[in-house]
Amino acid sequence: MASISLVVVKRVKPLPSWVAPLLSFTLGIAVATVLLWIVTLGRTDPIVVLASIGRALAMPQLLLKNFALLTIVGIGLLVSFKASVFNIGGEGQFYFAIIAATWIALFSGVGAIAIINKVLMLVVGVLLAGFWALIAALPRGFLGIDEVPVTLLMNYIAYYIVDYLVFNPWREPKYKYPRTPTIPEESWFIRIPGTTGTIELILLTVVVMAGIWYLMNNTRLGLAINVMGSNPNVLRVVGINPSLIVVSSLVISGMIVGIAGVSYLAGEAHLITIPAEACTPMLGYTGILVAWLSMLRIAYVPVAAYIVSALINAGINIQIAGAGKASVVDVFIGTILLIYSISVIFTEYSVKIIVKR
Amino acid sequence: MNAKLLAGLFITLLVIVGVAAFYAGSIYAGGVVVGEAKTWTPPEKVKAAWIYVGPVGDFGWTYAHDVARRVVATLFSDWLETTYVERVDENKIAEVIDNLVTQGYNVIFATSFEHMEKTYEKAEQYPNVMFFHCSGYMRRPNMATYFADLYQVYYLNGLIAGALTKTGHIGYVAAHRIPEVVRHINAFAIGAKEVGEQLGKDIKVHVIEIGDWFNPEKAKSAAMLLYTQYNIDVIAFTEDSTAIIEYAQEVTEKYLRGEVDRPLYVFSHYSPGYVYGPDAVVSGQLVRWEVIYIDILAKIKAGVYTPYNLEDVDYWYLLNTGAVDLGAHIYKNGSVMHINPKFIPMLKGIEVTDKLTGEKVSVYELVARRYEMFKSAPLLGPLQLTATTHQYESIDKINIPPIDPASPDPQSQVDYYTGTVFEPFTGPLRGYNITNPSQEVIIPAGKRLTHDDLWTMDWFLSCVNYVGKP
Amino acid sequence: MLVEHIVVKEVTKRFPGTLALDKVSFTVYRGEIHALLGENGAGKSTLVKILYGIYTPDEGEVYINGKKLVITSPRDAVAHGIVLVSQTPTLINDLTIVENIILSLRHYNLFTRTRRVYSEVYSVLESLGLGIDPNTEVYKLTYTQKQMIEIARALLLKAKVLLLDEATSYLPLTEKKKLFDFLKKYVKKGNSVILITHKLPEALEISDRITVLRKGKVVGTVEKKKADITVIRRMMFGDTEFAPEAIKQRESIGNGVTLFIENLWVKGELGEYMVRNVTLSVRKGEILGIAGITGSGQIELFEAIMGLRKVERGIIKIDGVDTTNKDTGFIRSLGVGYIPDNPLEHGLSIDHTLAENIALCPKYSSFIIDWHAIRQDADRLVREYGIVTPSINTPIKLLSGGNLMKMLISRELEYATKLLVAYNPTRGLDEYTANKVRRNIKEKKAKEGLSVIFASEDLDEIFELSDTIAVMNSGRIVGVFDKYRATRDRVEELMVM
Repeated sequence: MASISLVVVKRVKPLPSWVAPLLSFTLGIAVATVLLWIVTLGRTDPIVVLASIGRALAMPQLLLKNFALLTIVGIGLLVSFKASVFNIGGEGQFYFAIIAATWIALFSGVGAIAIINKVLMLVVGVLLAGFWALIAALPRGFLGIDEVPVTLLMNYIAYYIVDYLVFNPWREPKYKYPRTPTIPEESWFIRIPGTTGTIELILLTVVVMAGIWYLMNNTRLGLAINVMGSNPNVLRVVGINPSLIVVSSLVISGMIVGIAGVSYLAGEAHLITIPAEACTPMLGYTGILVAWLSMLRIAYVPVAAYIVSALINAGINIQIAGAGKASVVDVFIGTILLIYSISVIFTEYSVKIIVKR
Repeated sequence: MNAKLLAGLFITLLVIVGVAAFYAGSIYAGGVVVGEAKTWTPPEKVKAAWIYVGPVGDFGWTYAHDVARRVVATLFSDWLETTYVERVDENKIAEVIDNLVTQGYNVIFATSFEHMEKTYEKAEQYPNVMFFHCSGYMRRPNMATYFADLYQVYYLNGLIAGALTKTGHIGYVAAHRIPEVVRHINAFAIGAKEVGEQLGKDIKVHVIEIGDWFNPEKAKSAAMLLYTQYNIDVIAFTEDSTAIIEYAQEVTEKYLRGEVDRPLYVFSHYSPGYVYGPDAVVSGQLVRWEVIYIDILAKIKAGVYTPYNLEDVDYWYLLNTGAVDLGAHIYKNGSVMHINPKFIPMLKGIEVTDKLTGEKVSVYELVARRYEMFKSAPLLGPLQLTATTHQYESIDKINIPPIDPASPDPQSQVDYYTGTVFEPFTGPLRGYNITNPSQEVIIPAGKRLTHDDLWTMDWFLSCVNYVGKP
Repeated sequence: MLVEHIVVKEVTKRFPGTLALDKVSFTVYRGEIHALLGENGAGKSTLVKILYGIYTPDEGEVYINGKKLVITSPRDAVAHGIVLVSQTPTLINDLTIVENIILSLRHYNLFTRTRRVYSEVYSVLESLGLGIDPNTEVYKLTYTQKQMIEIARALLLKAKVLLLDEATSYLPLTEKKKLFDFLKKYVKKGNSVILITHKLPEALEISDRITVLRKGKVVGTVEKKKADITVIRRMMFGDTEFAPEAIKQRESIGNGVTLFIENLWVKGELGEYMVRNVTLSVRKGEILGIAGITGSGQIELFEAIMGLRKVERGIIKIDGVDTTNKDTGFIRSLGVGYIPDNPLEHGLSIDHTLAENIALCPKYSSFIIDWHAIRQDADRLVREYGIVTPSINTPIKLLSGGNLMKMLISRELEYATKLLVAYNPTRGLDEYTANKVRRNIKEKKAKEGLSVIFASEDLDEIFELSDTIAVMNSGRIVGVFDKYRATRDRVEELMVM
């Protein structure tokens, strides 16, 4: 009697690490396109959709802002993910940095003083974002309280704090529209003409990448964060307090995300609008996707960020081309993530078909 | 693949893109550029894009704009190409505009107040693209503003509400406490008070602010709260879904079956809402953005509007232009149902005094008279087109000097109405400041509020009770 | 008559950088206990993992009962009556014994009622000489008990071939005796056992035949009758000089007290006192060996010394510094090296490279890591301790168990300047390496005055290495002997008293 069975075998040598993202990206787009075509009963023209994605990918000057912001957030989140601390609170940290930077720009009196204003916005923004992360980090580090629900819920608390501030004391006085006044033009990041990016943002991106790369590869803290993710017991035995590592990874993570928050305010938004929950650019959440797609490798974060920001833009292009709604992009991102999750397994395992006789 | 190599590649790419874009950006700007001389050739084909804050299916604000888009796209199909992007909030508008411009769109309508600053920044960046921003106040040579305001219609709705309410408590679900909505709430309250007080009712308008332009769940629960806690039986709202209408219909049906003690009558907002609540919808506000869009696009095609002369273009269209109307339904033949026929007998049976003339008239007649007054203001239209002429709108009438003062010619003896005969926002009015309720606002008798007063309105009429934000 | 039960023909298996098995052939007959011997990394574990379907061979064939089989998963193996029991129990702690067993047995399904299984489990445990209620939660069991449950599970799986991969290594003597008696009965019924062990006497005692592997190749198979320790040792280590050359150490014990423990009380995982009123001292350059059956409180004592477990009462001083309930980092900074009881879980991070594991130790790096210096150190340790690894930048999960242990020992021994706290320092090492480690410890003690406190389940080791022997029983120190005055009988007696 012959029988055929599928056998999952661990690969002797894992596939190169870039296979999974590449595969998921190409296959994801293909599958999502077909899926959309079927679901919309042929009304979504796959050619238009693909052309929109292609157009988005080929226009780096339009992606620069999102690409850089997502790179920063992705790297920030990566620091915590490396330690197996799942910082879902990027949104809250992002907004806390914005709160701090807005205060500096609007109410501290230094908002219009060149250089000092931007430096202060960054420093205070980063510190406050770190502080917000610290609130979740302490119970996680010392009491073992799961950081996922805590950081997630703290996003909403941050949203509501922003809503309160903007709705009441910070509301723009002229029209009483639920938003802050525009921050002084002196505190704006300088736009690179023809692109969506700003000079400061690009500098910050490079600094963050280099800094975190150095931290993770050349310091004991970075090594401990790495080891924390695979075996915290070792840290204890070696004499490093795992609690401190958890706290530092989450706080560093929050601070980096805070850099993105300040950059977003000073480079793009220039004011806060509420309700924050609806007006957020969602970078704290999209960054999770970026960090994940990068397989937690710093060098791949920009690649993932570029792809994700291109997909966001492709969504706009798809709408302009009249090929679908804004939610089309979600289908793409979802499909890619799904295929990615599956294909990652196959970089370490292979399927063999075995015929038994 | 070497990870470090890849990272290096990306950083290099960043720098290259940055530098290249720096130079490219200064050359490339989109649109039709004819040298430095700012001479303008109207584009052969106008490519216009609409940016919406909500979904086109909201049957409110965005739906109304999209209806207008389809009207102009059909009408001018031989030279106009249109597209739209929906659900664009402040954090996305910059990217959307970038993408539109790179795809050659040369006229961009940004249809939400939130879009203002970003659109302005983008207008600076793309000086040869024409931007039109709805409901804002920031203008530049290639960015104009336009608005079709409903306060007169709200006032008319208020008159009806004042007649219909038995409890004297009227509800209002507001999206935001911004001047536009505040103006509408006050106009509505003025109308309700005018009729209601004559009928011996103590009119209170209870306002809940939901903080969203489109949020059916919040809108419905706010309406429910007002109905159950504040004893209201009439409601108006500023929110872009049909949720409140459907809820009001539900309540009114129960009332008609005798299950509850009072109905909930409702005024539909923006799009014709009658079909969602045939028993509950009394009237409402309708908008015809196409009136403005036809004007703008025709002038662009004719070369009247160019990216260099929009600085003072500011449409402020009221009932007289046809851009807004009183009603809740449009019949197949295009005529408007101003008031739900079910309510007409009732309104005809309630008698009040027209405070302008002192005559006793039915509420129905009063509404019709006021409507007529708003509608026919032949001199007002041209003043409503530019920012520099808005100041004249609040002058109700002028008298021209006679040729010979000794024997005045006939025309010098009649009133020349530049504005409307009747203006709801005329003193005496009493109210309180929104941010500081203890601060009283008093509009002296006979004073007509100016365009600027209306634009920056930050006070509530004293009969308005701001319940809060849930 | 001999019936071939399992035949392995020319099996080859490659891993990145190593040839784990090189055309290995051997035969197991029905009804025999077959011992697999070999030094660390010889390929014993790989071979049984192939039989159990965890690995598939690159080349070669496996025959069971004369039929050629491709075993692709443990499920497959179990279906053919082959069950592996390794040295680490894989039971789920929160569940009871019965629940664990229901989960792992395929002939039970979602609707099986626990009561039916209960009696089956009970009788199997009984036959193993284990009087445990099958409804006990697993976390309450000792390691020994868990290991016996694993064997019971294998029996319930209707194992015809039992693969014991060092499963008996850590069993206390009495339990081991019981198990061996059981195994002898078990093979009489036509079943077979493949036993992997490090201990030659053990292999000689129980097995019928012995196959020796060296560097992935079969050196030979001998029958027990024809084998003795010297023959087997030569087979295992080839011509390597093997003699536990007694290091004529100058008695280098100084006067200063390096480790001082007084009236120490420490609680265990379950909240019971595992260390009771222990008073000990280790002088400079002294090696103190703690003898005792597993679970007598050695682990808790060591963890308390290292600041990893709370001291309830009592004092610990290292080199005069009070370290009672101090931070582990502080204690280590005094120059204390530590080899924990479960090296893979507590000593090393297997996802990281050898160099990174070394860099973790504070001696080797301040805040900023000097990778250049670390690599030099790592290279030196690899050379000195004969750690077999493709490179110092390979994740150490690719290293064999013995090499991991070498890596840990080398790091800690390098690190320790005052005190080394070691639990089973030579576990998992072949005799050659174990001897080398012992020699290194002694050298360091003699040259640098390092003090050592260690516990071992191997009494031979205790006697060989220690200057002073303390016997621990149920959390108490029940006897302290000078090495030359201690007798094996007396120590064993105190251990099980």
